[in-house]
Amino acid sequence: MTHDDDLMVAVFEPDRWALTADPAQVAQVVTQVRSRRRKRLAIRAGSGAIAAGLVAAFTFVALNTDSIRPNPRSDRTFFQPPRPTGPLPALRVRHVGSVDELVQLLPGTTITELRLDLPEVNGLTPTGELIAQNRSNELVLIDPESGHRTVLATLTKSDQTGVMFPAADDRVIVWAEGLMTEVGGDAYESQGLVLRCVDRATGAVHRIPFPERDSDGVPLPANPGDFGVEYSVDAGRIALSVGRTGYPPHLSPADVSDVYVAARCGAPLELMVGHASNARLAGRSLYYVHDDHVWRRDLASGRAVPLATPARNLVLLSDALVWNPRLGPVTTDWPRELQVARRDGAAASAVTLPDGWTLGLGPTTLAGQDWVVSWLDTDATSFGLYFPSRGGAVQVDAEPGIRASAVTGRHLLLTEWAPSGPTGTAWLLTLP
Amino acid sequence: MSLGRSGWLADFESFVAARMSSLLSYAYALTGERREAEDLVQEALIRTGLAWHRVLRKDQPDAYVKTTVLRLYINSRRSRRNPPVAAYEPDNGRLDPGYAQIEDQDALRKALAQVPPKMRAVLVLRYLEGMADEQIAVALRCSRGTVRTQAARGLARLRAAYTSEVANHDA
Repeated sequence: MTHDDDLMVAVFEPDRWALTADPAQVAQVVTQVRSRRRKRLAIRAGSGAIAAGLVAAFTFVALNTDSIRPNPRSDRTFFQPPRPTGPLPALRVRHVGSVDELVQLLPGTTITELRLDLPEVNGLTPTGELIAQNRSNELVLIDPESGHRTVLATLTKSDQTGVMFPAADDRVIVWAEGLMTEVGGDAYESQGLVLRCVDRATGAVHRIPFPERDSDGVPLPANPGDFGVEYSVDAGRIALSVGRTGYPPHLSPADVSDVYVAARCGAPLELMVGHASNARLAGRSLYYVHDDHVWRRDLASGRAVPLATPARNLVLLSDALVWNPRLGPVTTDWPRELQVARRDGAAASAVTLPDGWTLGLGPTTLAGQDWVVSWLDTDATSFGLYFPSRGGAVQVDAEPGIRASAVTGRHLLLTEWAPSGPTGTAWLLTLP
Repeated sequence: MSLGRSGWLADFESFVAARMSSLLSYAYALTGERREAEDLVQEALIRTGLAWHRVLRKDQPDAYVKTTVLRLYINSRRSRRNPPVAAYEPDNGRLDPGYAQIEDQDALRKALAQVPPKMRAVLVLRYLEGMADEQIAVALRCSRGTVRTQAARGLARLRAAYTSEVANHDA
């Protein structure tokens, strides 16, 4: 044995580093997981996705708009301009070590640095305004350049009300409120969901009542949040997928969900498709998953056409469809092996995302204009962006602890986290 | 999917109870600081618990949580301005008298505290965890050559630091 070997044996003698866990530490971990999971599980998207950042109060304390930085230089050899038609380009993957490198890869990208006292932003509008819950239990809209805040609604009262999954277009904002009852210590029990919307033109706020019966006439549970609720908005319409029961083994979300559409905020829900899920609106079209197919329905004529199969979950981009072809029950993530195609189902092809990618978050936070975002599951500080029509994916190792926390349209909100929690710094990336 | 209120949590709790001591030891070797090790392990276990179903499907919960500890450790060290040399924490009660040729046990810890984080991680993974260089490369997201380079440099740094510590002690 060499001297170095002796040294290593001595240094890393296991007893030297032995620590014994206190049972209280075990209990603390379990309590924390239970508490955070309850907050996250109050709403389920069709992919089994969970909204993050459920209950944080949020207030702007300062805005540094001087930090809006144009892209200093760009690597135009990697991301090509989107190809809106024809075959989707083959996937190439780039790994970058910082957000700045990401910006350099995407010409035209800008970053706005935000300083927040509590950086939990619940969502974004298509024009990059921040949707957040403030300390006064209100939902507010924040202009990232001026810091101006507009109160959208006073939230429903409960021991702890949290906003989840705001979805917005230029006419309407829809959000879910998770209502909690304190059951002792830091633990809360979900008391259900309230789905609400605001007409952005008039400021009128409406509650969206969940259907009382499913498409087969069976009464729905009092708390549909347990069984999957997701929604999308476009052109002022609201599409809603409501789970009818738990997801039994071997069944896809579409087998146990129904799809509804409201013509505007305040209008009644109309049943569109029974046994369907993943409702996505795009102009006059409604996309959804039904009978293991991706369908597109013309809302005016009611005519529906199948676009792709097999399909379990769906993401709708401006110029592409991305879906999970693996049938079966919903899980907490997507496989890396996905299918992509044009929005009419043409040019379908398989794509395998980089190792570690899991497209695990819900539809209203998952997809941007022409890209989807992935949080890497073994390291919450890394994330990936996949641009089907640009043929590229980029994995970002953002340091220290930068997370992608909201996505809409061309905008991606990154927040900085330390092991103890958010640091108060965030960046709004506006992609080209 | 219903919210499955107890089954998975009971499984997770069993995992935590069974593995937490080992994880604390692993984190302690990485950080050299007991409090920081506890914080890292707690955060890593919480993240693991939140992803429990996904982790179970991969059948590698131990590897998952250790990788999370490792990356939290490296991230936390990157964000520090000063190396944690002064964070040394004596713990003489745990020393094994069997290694009599290593005369100054405290000097070992002080010396290890002077090894940069990534090099220290490579040494911990290789010599405490017994991982192959290929596995370490995956965990640290680097090449096998980088692992070997970091190991060699880390060992050299440790040797030099230890020699210096012993000399200071003798003086």
